[in-house]
Amino acid sequence: MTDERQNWTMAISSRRGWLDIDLKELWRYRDLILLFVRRDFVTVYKQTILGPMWFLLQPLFSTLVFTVVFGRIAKIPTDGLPQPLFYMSAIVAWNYFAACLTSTSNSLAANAGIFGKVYFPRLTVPLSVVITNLLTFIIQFGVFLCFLLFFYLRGAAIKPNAFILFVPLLILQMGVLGLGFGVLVSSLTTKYRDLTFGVAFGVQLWMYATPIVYPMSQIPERWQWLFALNPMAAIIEVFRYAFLGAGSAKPLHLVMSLGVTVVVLVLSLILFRRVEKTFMDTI
Amino acid sequence: MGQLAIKIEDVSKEYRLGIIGHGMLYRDLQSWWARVRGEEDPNAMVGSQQPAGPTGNDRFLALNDVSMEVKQGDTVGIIGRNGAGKSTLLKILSRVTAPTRGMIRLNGRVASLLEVGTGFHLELTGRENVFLNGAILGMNRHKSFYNRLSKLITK
Repeated sequence: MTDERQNWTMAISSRRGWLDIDLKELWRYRDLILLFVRRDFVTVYKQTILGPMWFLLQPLFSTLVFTVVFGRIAKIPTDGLPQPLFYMSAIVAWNYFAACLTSTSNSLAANAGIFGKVYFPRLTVPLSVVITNLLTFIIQFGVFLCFLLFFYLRGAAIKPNAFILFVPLLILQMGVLGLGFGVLVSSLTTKYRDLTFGVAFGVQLWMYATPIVYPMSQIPERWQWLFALNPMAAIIEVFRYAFLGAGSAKPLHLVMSLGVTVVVLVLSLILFRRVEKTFMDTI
Repeated sequence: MGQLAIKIEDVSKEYRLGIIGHGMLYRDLQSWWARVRGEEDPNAMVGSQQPAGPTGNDRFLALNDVSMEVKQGDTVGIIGRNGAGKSTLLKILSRVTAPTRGMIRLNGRVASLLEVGTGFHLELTGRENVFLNGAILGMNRHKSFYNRLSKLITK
């Protein structure tokens, strides 16, 4: 036989490493990721009357409700910022993170039909979900910028500052964080379906643990470290500070948030690697 | 002599029979807690005495040390009774699931023959669906794909 000198293009075995994500393979499948993005983006609002208008309506109405409920009725302070801007800045950012998390978290179970028929890198699906949500975020972010400009021209007390340069990093971090938590959940949901219910509920509660309807400055000094453990807290505070110029973002909190993000990402990739090879047997 | 296209060495695939998990976290925790205290598993099937574990015979070998070679250009059929493991072997070959033991080496590309409609999206156009399915099978959208497509589709 000639097989010892033969060069094989592919090997399948039961062995698995801890973190051997095949980035080259993922890159070869970049077309698939883009097509998934296109598919998801095009099909979301098919068979709806308002169609893409939903992208705009959703943050607008949330802002309106928050302004009335938390601003006017509950009278929660907003660091002296105009209430609509205070809420909208956080809503737009939070929505991106929350959408990444929830849609990634059921990506394995939802695509079991294709996964069971053919091989392609499983990570393409969660990745495409994050990119799709990024597009949505950019649209909603545009709405926010329009509001920002409107208030700015009317002379509201807002001071956009150099922290804006950090915003792309914050967006990346939110994407990674959403992907990490989502992949973690989706790896576990292949076995435990409970978590699917937990996610929607959990994200809702998590929102109130994040300074979205209240500023970080309302938290007593000695409890702030606890809030900083929530990686989204620092992100939202810095995001808001960059555009509006008020808030109490501390560098330490941002570092903690980055640390948590990295840990979550590594953990999720390890778990995903373990699950992806055999999850079709248990799903 | 043609080169080898597929070489399968001592491949086994083991499935656990019966309850894989209870599908719910709290039941798994309940069973685990019962095992820790040495009590009977409240979720075990009535009458089953032996504990489920790596040594229990609740495991089923769908493939047991399968070895074979396929040369380039060969056409091979796999024949067997129900439950013989034909589909399991093909699933492992197409990397839908991983083997429990053993090693498979391939030279070339695997293209699973998909059922009509797998991964088809009614909201997309026919052309978009072609590209999506092509990409799922690992084809890039480079020129040869486009050229062949325009040859196949006559407007």
